[in-house]
Amino acid sequence: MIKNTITKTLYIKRWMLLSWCLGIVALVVFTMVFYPTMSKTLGQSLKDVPDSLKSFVGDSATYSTIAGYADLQVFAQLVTMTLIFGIILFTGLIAGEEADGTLQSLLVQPLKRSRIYFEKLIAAITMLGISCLSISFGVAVGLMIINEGLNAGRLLAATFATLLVSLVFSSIGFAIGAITGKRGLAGGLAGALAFTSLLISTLAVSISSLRTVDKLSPFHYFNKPGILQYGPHWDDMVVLAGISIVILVIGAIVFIKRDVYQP
Amino acid sequence: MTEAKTAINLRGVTKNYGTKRGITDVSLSVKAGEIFGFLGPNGAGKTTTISLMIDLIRPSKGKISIFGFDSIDDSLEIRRRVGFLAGDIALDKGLTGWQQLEYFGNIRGSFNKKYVKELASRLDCNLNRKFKTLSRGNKQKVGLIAALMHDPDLLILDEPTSGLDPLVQSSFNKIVLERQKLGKTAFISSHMLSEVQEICDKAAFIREGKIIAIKSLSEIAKKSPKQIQLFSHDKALALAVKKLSGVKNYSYSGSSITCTYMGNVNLLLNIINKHHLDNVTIQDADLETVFMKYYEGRND
Repeated sequence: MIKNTITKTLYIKRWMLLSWCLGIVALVVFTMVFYPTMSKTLGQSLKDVPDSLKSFVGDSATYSTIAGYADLQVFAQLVTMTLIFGIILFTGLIAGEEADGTLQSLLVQPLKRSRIYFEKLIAAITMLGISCLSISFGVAVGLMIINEGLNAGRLLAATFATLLVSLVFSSIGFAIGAITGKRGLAGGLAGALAFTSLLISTLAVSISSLRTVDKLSPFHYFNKPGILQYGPHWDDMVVLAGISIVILVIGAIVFIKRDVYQP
Repeated sequence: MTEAKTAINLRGVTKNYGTKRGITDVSLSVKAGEIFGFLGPNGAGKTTTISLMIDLIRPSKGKISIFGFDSIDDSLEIRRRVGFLAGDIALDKGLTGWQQLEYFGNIRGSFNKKYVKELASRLDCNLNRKFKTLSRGNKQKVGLIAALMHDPDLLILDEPTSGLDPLVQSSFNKIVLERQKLGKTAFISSHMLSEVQEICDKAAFIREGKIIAIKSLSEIAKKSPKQIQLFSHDKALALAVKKLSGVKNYSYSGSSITCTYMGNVNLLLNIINKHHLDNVTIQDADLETVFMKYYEGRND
């Protein structure tokens, strides 16, 4: 059953993944079934919200459609959850296993370090993907309950964009962990960068001086404008994927050559 | 001796850790089919040397070859031929011993269930329990099976019997000796002379990152200091022992004589035979005392 590092990692993390996804589905369904009530209440109360605050809470027009509601209340909110999941998961697979000594037990097997690195990465991306798909699944269940509909292609595109932006910061955690072997440093730096990026991109809507810096922020390329409302932005997704690839390749190059100490 | 008949060859290997000491100019050679002990106190550089051999870390200077293969360029080939046990074995907590071994077997391209079951039986190891539920000794057994299960040409073991009960230690020693008869090599690191002296042909002593002596175990046993305690009220015996050449750290309490003895054991037994004795204990000196003997000898 456990044929390689990919299947081993998926097997080891199966309960964590399952419970996380069940929680996400429940949260998304819960959010979606409140759409009829929220669209009326928020639509009215957001009419007088100043422009500077609309980037945080949306405007009344956003809540008038199920697509706008799901863009803002589901994807824009839950991306932080998948980020946390991704950073914890990705930093644990090399830096975490190095700290507890299991990585060393694997490195003495006849496997190239590059193979170990990429098999762990594939397993982590698979789990992050499943976590993102659980958001879509929750949206679909919620839509059935409230008898609403959404473009399935756009829903999948929004899920893919969530995966890509989460992957950028998870990759930072993975690569720093592989380069330094320090889980705390990797997770802390990835988390701090994610928070900074999210803050800059959120504030840049209303603070013009941040707009140049915002272009360096990965969140600038995520869900702007909302994918469910306006369709996917493939060029933005290419940027996000490109950032992750560069970070992961740097991580692999250093990991292959560096010393790995026994605990 | 051709390179092919040499299992391990370290030539002037140095590993620097910035300001911390690693190992300095370590050279040693282990013949194929030999069981080689690598002795030193904690922090002497044993784990560093082993980590360099299996390419977990890279030397700052010097060359390492295993069966003629370079430790860096041919590390994959080396790891195919080596069975390794870390000093502090860590495997996936959520897997059973069997799942873990099956995983490593699949990575290596073959999993010999029959041989794994045989090893588990000989080492009295339950492979159906999850690793996180195992005691230190049982974790060590799973680690030993992982090192042995692919029938490697060379075993590199870091303190292999720590945590094992004497019966299992004995079974392990038998396995290593049986493998030696088949021409297999073993490199066993330890900070306890007793752990290696039963099975090793030769041993290297490492201290503060440097090799201070490489000796055959029979030579070590012959010259190894003994801790002697003689229980007797015979003052003549106490006096005779005190005068004996090779006696150090002598003390006499009136009812017992304690000392470290580094001379000919037959001379001591002759003296003991001539006097009345209530009891006697003779044991090998601790490793530090043995080290000091070689260390002092080297500096003379």
